[in-house]
Amino acid sequence: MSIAQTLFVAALGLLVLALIAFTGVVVVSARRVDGGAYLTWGLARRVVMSRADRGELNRWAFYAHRISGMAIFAFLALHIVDVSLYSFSRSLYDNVHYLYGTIPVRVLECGLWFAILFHTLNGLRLLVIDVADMGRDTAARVLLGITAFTIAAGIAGSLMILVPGLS
Amino acid sequence: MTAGQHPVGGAVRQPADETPLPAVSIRRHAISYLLVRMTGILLAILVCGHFIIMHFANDVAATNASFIARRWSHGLWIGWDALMLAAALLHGGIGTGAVLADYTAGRRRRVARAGLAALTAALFAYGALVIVRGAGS
Repeated sequence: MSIAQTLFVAALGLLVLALIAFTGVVVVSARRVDGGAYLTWGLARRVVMSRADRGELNRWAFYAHRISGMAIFAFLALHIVDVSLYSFSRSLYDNVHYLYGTIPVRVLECGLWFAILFHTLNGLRLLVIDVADMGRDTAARVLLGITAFTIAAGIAGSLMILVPGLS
Repeated sequence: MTAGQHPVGGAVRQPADETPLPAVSIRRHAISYLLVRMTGILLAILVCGHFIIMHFANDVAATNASFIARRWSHGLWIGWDALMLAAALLHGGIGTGAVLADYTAGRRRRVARAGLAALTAALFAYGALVIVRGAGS
């Protein structure tokens, strides 16, 4: 590996570690501020049992929105730097960009695609909640819908990223 | 979600015995609330479009320097990338500012926010320079 490639891989590794640490911060703060982690087996039962309790899912959407947003922002910072290599030398850009086509980075790209999908759809949901004065039950239903869509489109996109022949 | 909003939705209520937020603070929150949502709508199109073009319409291994050279010979893609750069940094900067406000306080918050503002501004200037140079060559 060239020095530029090593630096890119090191930065990407740091970024993933920082994101894991940030997720820890969000979880610890959730336990302290919001009265504990409710992600237990009982959650499935509560979702099925009561419409009113589905509002709790908004809290999990908030955490997922925050973590996916930080993931995208961190990658954006790295991406601006790696694209900027084009300005210095095209061969240097190609040298680092080659890594995007390797399997480990492709796997991270799949994670990025899931993050972008969820953050986009949930962000639009938050917008519609305010603009259309969407009720709690409808908001929860829409959240389930966008989560299902994120998983479906995320898996389909991941297949296309991991198996280049498909696209 | 902007600062001053509770995760479950709706603005944080001011208890009666607390002094209300000053008008300047309310206006600042209203401006960042609007900016996050307006850039968010833009980014829903720009970022998803960017990802679809770079990963599904093309394979990522094929988007090399000559791909960029061809791309940046069209005004549409120069405009797309410049708008995406500005909108993404504004959106991400405001969002990260709200996140920092939740986990820091006092002097640490001011230092963290100043650092974030400097980083975001530097990334914008650097990225804009790359696009201008790339479009000119």
